[in-house]
Amino acid sequence: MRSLLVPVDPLVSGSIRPLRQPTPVEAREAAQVPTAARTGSEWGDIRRVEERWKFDLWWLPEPISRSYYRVESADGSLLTLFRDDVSGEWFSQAA
Amino acid sequence: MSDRYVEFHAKCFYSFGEGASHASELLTRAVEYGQTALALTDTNLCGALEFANLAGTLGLKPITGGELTLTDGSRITLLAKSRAGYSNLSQLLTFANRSDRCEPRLDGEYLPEHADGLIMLTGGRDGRLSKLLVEGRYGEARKCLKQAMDWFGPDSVYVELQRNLLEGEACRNRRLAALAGEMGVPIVATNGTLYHAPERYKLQHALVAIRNNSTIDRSLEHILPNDQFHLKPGAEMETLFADFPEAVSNTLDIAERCGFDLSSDLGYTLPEPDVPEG
Repeated sequence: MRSLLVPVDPLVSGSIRPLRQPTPVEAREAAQVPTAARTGSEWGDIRRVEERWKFDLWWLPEPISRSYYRVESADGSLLTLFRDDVSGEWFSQAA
Repeated sequence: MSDRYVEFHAKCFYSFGEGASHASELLTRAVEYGQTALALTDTNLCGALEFANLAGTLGLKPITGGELTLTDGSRITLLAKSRAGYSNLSQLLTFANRSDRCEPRLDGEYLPEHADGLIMLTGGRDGRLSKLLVEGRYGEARKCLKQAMDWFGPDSVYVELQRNLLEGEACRNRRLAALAGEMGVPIVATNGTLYHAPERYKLQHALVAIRNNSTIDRSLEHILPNDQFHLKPGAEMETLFADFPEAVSNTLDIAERCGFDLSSDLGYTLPEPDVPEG
């Protein structure tokens, strides 16, 4: 789910940084399912939800609970969005 | 009004380290949903008679079944249609336990001779069929399903679809349903039920960890990481399987076909020995 980029040269400063970090997005939802998302400056409608899944790592000191949605936007592109079920915030997760 | 769904893959406490509810809790919840029948498919028959007796008192049709793990680690779900089916299920569980009491495994070679009177569900996400299709091994998947049809009869095999909000289910179910359609095998929805209510999921995780003699955070590969394995009402199952409506409606047909009631159909009669007077 989370990846790390580790350069070959370990002396490079900031040699470890996370890859594919989730990006905060705004989302409109109906019955907790996203219907539109704003990833840049514009809102884009969501045509359909292809798949949804959720997990709840409740035993961690800071529990992680997320609901994921793989959606098709109105322009046909596929996005993976998730709602942080603890904070209620939405994020976009690069594949 | 009766619910339009029957759960055919449910485990209670007697599936040690897996089920997190008592059979009575599952039955009570099924009655609350208006369901007319419920199958108990533990990894043993320890709770089967208690389940059947309790179901009778609640006016619910009990269906006796079991989940068997094969030697390759895949699982199948079996339901007793008749007394012969119950007998075969009992024997298959015995064979599995003979291999290893802690982790029973059934050699698939026993299945052809003990398939009479049983309905086989292909085992959901843990079934061999699912694993083959997820790996893109379509030819082997066809052979696997054909073999099951040969053993249990073409009308006694159902391709089991599950949707518990885990990643990868959409693709898996599409492939399972496509294969079922291609081979003329009906599909059925189950929820792989492990507890009667969502709030029981934390206990279920703890039981899994205990079974693995470990902590929850070290048992991740065994843990089903959400609360979606509870007994669900028909309306929720219909929503989850909106793209495969027949998978839900077929549950009512299976319930009709399972005519064996463990609480009344064993036909045991106690011997009446001659006892001298005095």
